[in-house]
Amino acid sequence: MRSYGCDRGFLPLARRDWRIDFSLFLVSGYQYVRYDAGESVFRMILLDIPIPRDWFDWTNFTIGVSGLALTLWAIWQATGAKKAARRAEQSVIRHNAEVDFGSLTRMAKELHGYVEGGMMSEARLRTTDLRSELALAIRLHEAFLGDQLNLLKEKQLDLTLVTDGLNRESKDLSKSERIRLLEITGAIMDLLAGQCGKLRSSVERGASNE
Amino acid sequence: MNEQSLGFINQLIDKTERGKLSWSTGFEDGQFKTLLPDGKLAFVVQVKGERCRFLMLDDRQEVILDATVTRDDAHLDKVQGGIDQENLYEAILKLQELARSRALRVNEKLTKAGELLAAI
Repeated sequence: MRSYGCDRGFLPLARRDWRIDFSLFLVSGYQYVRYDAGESVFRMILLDIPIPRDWFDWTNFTIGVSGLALTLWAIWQATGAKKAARRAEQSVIRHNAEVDFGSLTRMAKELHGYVEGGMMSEARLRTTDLRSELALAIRLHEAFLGDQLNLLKEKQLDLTLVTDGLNRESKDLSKSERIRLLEITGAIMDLLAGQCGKLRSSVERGASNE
Repeated sequence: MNEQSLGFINQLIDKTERGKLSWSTGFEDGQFKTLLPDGKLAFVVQVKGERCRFLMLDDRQEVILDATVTRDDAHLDKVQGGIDQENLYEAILKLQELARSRALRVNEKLTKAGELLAAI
C-alpha cells in the first residue's frame, strides 16, 4: 500500500478528511490575522502615540490633557460671556425704549389734560410735540413694538389729522370734534401707557432672568 | 396731480365696495381715514360743507397727495368746458359716502333698527 508520505506525518490522500483540512486552515489563518490586525487596530486607536511608559511620558500626557481641558473650558466661558453681553445690550435698548415711551405717556397725559380743560392753543403745541416724538420713538424702537406697531401708526395718523385740524380752526371746533379730540387723546394715552408697561415688564423679566 | 388723485380715488372706491378696506372716523367732521397693511400708506377723505378733500400720506405721515376741490371750483370748471374738477368732486363725494357707511356701519345699524322697530 502506498503511504503518500504517511511516514513523514502526512495522511494518505484517500484517508484525508476535508473538514480537518479546513479547520487547520482556519486556525492558522486566525492566528495570522489576529496578530497583524490586532497590532494595526491598536496603533489606530492610539493615533500612533506611544503608550506612556515612564514619568516623563506621563507628565507630557497629563499636561496635554490638562491643556485640552483648559481650552475647552475657555471656549465654553467665552460663549457664555458673548451671550451675556448680547442679553445686556438688549436689556439696555429695552430700557431706553421704556424711558422714551414713559416720556411719551406723560406728554399724552398733558395733552389730554389741556383738551379736557379747553386749553386749545396749549393742546395744539403739545400735539405737535407728541407727534414728532412719537414718530421718532416708532422709528427707533420698531423692533420691540410687535403687533402694537400698526395701532401706533394709526394713532400717529390721528395726531397728524388733529394737528392739521387744530392749526386751521382750533377756536371753531364743533361739539362732535371736541368729543372726538378727547377720545383720540384718551386712546393715545392708554395705548402709550400700555406699551410703556409692556416694555417695563420685559426689562424687569430680563433683569430677573440674568 | 388731479388725474393721479382721481385714479387712486377710483381704486379706493372699488376696493371699499368689495369690502377689502376698512375705514374709521378721523378728527374733523366728515373726515374718514384708512391705513394700508403695515401702515405703509394712509388715505384720508373729507367732505366738510362745500369743500371736498383727499389726502394720501406715507408711512412717515408726510402728505404725498393733497387734492382739495370746492363745489364752486367744480361748477366753474364744468361751465368752462373742463371735466377734471367736476370728476374729482364727484369721486370724492362718492368715496366719502362709502367710507362713512363702512366706518359707522350704517347698513348694519339700519338693519338692526328695522328689526328693533319690527319687534315693538
